[in-house]
Amino acid sequence: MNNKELITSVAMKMNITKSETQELLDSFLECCISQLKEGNSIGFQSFGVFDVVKRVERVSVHPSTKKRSLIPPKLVLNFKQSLILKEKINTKL
Amino acid sequence: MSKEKISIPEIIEWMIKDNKTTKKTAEEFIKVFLSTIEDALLSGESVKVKGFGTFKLQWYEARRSIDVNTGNEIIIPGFYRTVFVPENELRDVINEPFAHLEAVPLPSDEEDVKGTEKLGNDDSESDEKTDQDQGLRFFTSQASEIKSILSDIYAMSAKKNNQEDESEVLDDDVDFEDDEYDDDVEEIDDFGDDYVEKEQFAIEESDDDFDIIREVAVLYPADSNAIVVDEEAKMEDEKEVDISEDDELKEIKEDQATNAEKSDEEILVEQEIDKKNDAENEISGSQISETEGITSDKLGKDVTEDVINDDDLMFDDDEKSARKIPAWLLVLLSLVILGVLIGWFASSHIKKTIRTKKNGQRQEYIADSLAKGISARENGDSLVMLQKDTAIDSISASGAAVSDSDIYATPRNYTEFLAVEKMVPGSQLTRFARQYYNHPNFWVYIYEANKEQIADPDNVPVNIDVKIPKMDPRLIDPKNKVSMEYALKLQREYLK
Repeated sequence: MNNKELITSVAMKMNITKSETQELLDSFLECCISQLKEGNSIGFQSFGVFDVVKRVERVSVHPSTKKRSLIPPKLVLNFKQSLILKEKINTKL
Repeated sequence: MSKEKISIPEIIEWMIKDNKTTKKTAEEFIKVFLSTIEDALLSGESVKVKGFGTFKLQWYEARRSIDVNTGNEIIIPGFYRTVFVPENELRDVINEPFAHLEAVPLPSDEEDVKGTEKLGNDDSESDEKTDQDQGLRFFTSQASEIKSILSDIYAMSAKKNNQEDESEVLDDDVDFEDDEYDDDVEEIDDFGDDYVEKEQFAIEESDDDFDIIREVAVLYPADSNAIVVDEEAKMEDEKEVDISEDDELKEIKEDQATNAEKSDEEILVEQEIDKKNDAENEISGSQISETEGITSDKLGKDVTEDVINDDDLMFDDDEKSARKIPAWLLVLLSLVILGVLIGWFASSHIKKTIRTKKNGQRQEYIADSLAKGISARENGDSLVMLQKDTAIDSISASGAAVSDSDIYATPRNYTEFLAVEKMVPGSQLTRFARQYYNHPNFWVYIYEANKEQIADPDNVPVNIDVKIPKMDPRLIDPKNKVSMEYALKLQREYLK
């Protein structure tokens, strides 16, 4: 399901136009991203948690050249599904 | 960076502030949005949200584990997990605080390995040099040999140009060009000498002499003064004069001025350039004829003819010494053509040259043919042909003989090789296969060709030279199912 289909589907369920849905989605995402950017985690009940995690720096060895290099730390966005969602999916599929 | 937990109510608050939506719609939207994603996931679909990322399901296989409390073995059943892959933009935004950091190569014990690697490279270069010295000791009389060397030199000079970070190289380059220039003048002197003596010797011999000198001059641009001493001892005075005049000539070119006194030298230079061009034409001609399957004997004849033409040219030029200004213009014109040709050669032959350089076969051939003496001319020619042979020749020959089905049935014997690669720690046959045959699966053929060196394909010894055989293109066609299956079958056999 791509973005278009998602918006159509949401718009149909909410009985609003697609452009309104798009606006809502944009403001929702903007809000989420700004929160994530500050390092906050966002939890959606019965869906999952978005979390920013720091991957610490590490030494990697190139398998062929055996050159060692230090990979710097980085922040990544993690998503962990809630148990409810997991159960739902695994019972249905 | 604060670490807060934010949930739906806070998000709704933010949305209301931002976008003046009512609490009700915002709440409903989030609910519907999440449930829509959930539904899609439940139906096994992945969901892409633009500007955010993709939700999809990933299957995790069942696995054995041990219950930490009881110590009993349990089986964790397989399950689906919802994974979220953020879009690149989002990923970058999240990582912004650390975005400026880059991977730093670490100095460590492995540094030694690097050092030896570098040393190894140096060694190979010096090896080349010693090989060239060997080649110096034996004078060869193969016209086609010169062609390959010429093209090598051109390719090398282009390669040097590429490494602009090394200022030394640049300097060398300049020296190199100057030397070449001088050498060419010497060549002409010698050649003229030859011509004088031509009545005493057969045409063939003078031809050979010229070839030798030419080869030496090109091979050893820096040392050639010492090398050609015998031939040029008598001409030395003249040569010096020529060189100095040559320098003057360069200045004149820069000044765009013509001088009647210099006309002789100009003509000399012109001859030299003509010869160079001819040599290049010979090279290109030889390559074309090679692909057409013309034997090298004929090539030799061609070259002889060319050289004779050169003789004629030289005399013509002497007669035309009265034409001063046109000669000067011709010099400029031919210089331009020369430059273009050099550029073209450098680009088109750099790859081939690197390979031949690597395996150093050329030098071996020189040694071989020279050991056999003057009578080795024919042998040498055939050797050179072997060496210069590109994939087209033999494959078309062998390919025509063997039909499609037989190709897999007949055992392969490897006689011709594309290159020789040195196994260093970390090298893999599959990598060579990918490099030369465009697919890693065809490593089996490399193994077959090097069986005596490689006892166990899983554990290839290092520091051996692996020969990369030339393969029938039908055997190494990644798009052809049959060839792939055959390679896989061989792989299973060898990896038993």
